[in-house]
Amino acid sequence: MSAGREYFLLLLLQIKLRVRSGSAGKPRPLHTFAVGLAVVYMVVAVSFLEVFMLGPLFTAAKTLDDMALQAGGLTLANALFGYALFLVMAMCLVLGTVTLLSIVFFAKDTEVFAAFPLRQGNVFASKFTICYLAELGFSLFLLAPAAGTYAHYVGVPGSFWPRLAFAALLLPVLPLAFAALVALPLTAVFGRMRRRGLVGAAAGMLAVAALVAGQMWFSASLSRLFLGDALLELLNGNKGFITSSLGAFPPLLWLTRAVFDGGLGALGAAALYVAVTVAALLCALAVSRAGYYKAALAHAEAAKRRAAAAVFLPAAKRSVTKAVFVKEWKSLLRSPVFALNSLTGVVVFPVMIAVSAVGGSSYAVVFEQLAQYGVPEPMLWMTLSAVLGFVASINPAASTVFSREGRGLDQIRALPLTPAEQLRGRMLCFHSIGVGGVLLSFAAMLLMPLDKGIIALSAFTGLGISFAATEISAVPDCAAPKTRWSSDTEAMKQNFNSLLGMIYAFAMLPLLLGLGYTVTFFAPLELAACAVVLLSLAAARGARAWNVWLTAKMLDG
Amino acid sequence: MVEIKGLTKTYAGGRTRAVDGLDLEVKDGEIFGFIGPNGAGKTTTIKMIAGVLRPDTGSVRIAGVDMSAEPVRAKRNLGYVPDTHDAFDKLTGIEYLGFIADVYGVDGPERKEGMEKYLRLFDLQSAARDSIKSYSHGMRQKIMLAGALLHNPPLWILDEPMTGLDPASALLLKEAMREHCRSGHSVFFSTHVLDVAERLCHRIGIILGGKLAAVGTLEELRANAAADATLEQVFFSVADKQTEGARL
Ligand SMILES: Nc1ncnc2c1ncn2[C@@H]1O[C@H](COP(=O)(O)OP(=O)(O)O)[C@@H](O)[C@H]1O
Ligand SMILES: [Mg+2]
Repeated sequence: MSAGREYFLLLLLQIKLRVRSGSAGKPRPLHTFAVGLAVVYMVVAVSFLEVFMLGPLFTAAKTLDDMALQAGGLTLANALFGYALFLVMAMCLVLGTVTLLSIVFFAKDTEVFAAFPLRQGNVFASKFTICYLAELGFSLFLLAPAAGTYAHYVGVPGSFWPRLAFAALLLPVLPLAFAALVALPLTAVFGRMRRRGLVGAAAGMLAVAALVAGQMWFSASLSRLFLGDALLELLNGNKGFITSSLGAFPPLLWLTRAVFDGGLGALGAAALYVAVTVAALLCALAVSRAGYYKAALAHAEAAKRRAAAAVFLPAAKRSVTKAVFVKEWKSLLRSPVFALNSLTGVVVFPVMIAVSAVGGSSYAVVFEQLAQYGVPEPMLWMTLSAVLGFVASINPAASTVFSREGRGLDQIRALPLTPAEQLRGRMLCFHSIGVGGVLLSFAAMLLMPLDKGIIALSAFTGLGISFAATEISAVPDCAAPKTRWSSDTEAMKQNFNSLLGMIYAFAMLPLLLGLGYTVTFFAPLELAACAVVLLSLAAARGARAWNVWLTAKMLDG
Repeated sequence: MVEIKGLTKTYAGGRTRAVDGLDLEVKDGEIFGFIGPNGAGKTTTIKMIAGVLRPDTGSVRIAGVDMSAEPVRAKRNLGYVPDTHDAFDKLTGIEYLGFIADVYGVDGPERKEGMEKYLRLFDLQSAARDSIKSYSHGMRQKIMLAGALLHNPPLWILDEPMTGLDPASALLLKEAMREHCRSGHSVFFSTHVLDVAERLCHRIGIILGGKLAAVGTLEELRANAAADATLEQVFFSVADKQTEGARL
């Protein structure tokens, strides 16, 4: 069989596997409806957010551009859109790394493929393509509203759309190829380690550090564009600063020019961007042809401890809750996919908050100005609480509580535990993750030049919200866990319950904070915070009762 | 030890009748073998006894405790080993036993001694600190068996326990089953391997198409066939009578 044919057959198989996984069992109309609703909710929310944030920025840029003396070349608005492209690329890098690790490097089916007479480069390429398609969908989802906003506020020629489509198609390739090139040798080396779950999580954190570094660079350039002498430079007819700031990452400059530049300049830039993308892709393919199996099968070979002379037995008895709690933590940390997905959020957001708070970023300037002119305290409290609530609402561990047991759920059913006991230890584990995220973010917020009292009050509020968010995000999985998975990725990342749980938690957030904000109209801030916390705890209590009821029904065959 | 009355379970919205009006009793101190061809309904029955599946109709009582009325108390009385072992594979062998001991409240000297005893019995000491994921099928089977014995339950429920065991481990398991019964405890296990049932069981139930076709000691079952018939011959004569009955 030719290599090309083999690749397409494998790709087709991969697509079928992705499409069919999770659709086992009878289709439920209510479920399909919820899926549709969730997708619409996400699209509307993101679009709204982007229009809201980018609209004024684009308008400001256009005003400055109109004042510029020098014609031709990239405008400020072009550059801003270029940064949006860059941000999407950075997101692709982080999310793509996670997807790549789950689908390409820690997948269970690699062993099966390895038994067939297939070229390993092709097995890799077919899975890589799946990751590409996923990231493509994701980047289109982010780019489309941004492009629409740009077209509306700045105005674009007709040739903009095909050029943008070209850019969007190529956009995810570079970050993915880069991630694959880094991940291949790393998994080969670290896959054999005993604590590879933690190592995998650490690798994810590294990817996050990369994102944060990128964001720092982005913020610094942005502030140079807007807060620096942009106006002066433009009035002086000097546009060189735009090119040089985009040029800090040359492919970004090429891509932006490919979208906006006129004539030959665009063609040349497009050629350069294609060249670097193809080069990166070919490198990744070449490396995979040599060592994909070595990397991807390393973890299948369980690293064993040397046989101990005497087996250490845990002598002390634990309570049921503690036993379940410990078991839950262990099973989360022992799987790279589980560890990565449940802990990354808890680390990413605090780091992002910290980075945005310290010097060198445009946000720091914003914070200083805020501190100087003074923000209404209730507003500040609500914003900070919302950020903390957001951090706590992303908890894929809670929203896949029973799914992760897989087919082993039957053995869980046979244990002499009440539904409440089954849940207590597990939820405690997820609460510890949520609380950890809030506390870390709180520590990061302390770096901001804002009133420490308000930050502390927000942390108090955030803790309350965290309990409610964690409980409520477990609701879909207590009702109908997806246990027919064959890889940890399907159990958690590709599990629709994790998205659904997040949406439940997000939907609750504005309700809680909105009520709290209303309280601030006639009561002091402390009282409003207490009200939100009490309300959250009540919601958590209610959600737990609901979860226990659902679990009882679900576990009962 | 086990009383089953009118047990019925259907799948696929009533289209598949996996178990159909089953009545059965397992006495104290008895090894009860549950035999039948693939798809006869053995696993479904066992899951209902273990409280994993809820029967459509009928009741299960374990040591006098009704499973649907008091599931937690009923489950305390049994140790269940399923036919697949997908659970707990992120834990190490020793962590799994620790978890089971905690959940069933095994404390004091029995905790440590029990763990040591069963790890030694099933030759799992050197693998005890590796994750269950790295175990072979037989080793998984053995660690699950160890877990089901650790709390010394009055009733042991095993689904196809011999599958995947090497001869030495199979022998160990049969010994463990016999020993378990000596103290008045019972074993309920399913198999499609007739020789095993023939030599091990005090009583045997034959299930065909979700219905109990015959039940009794080997001698009682032989009444259906020749006096010196093997279980295999008994089995086929029961099966033949069923198909004849269906034709009439
Ligand atoms: N989860 C299920 N969904 C639908 N049908 C099932 C399911 N489990 C078992 N069955 C059907 O029930 C019947 C009995 O299955 P089972 O109890 O597993 O048999 P055995 O263990 O004796 O081989 C079979 O016809 C099987 O196809
Ligand atoms: Mg079976």
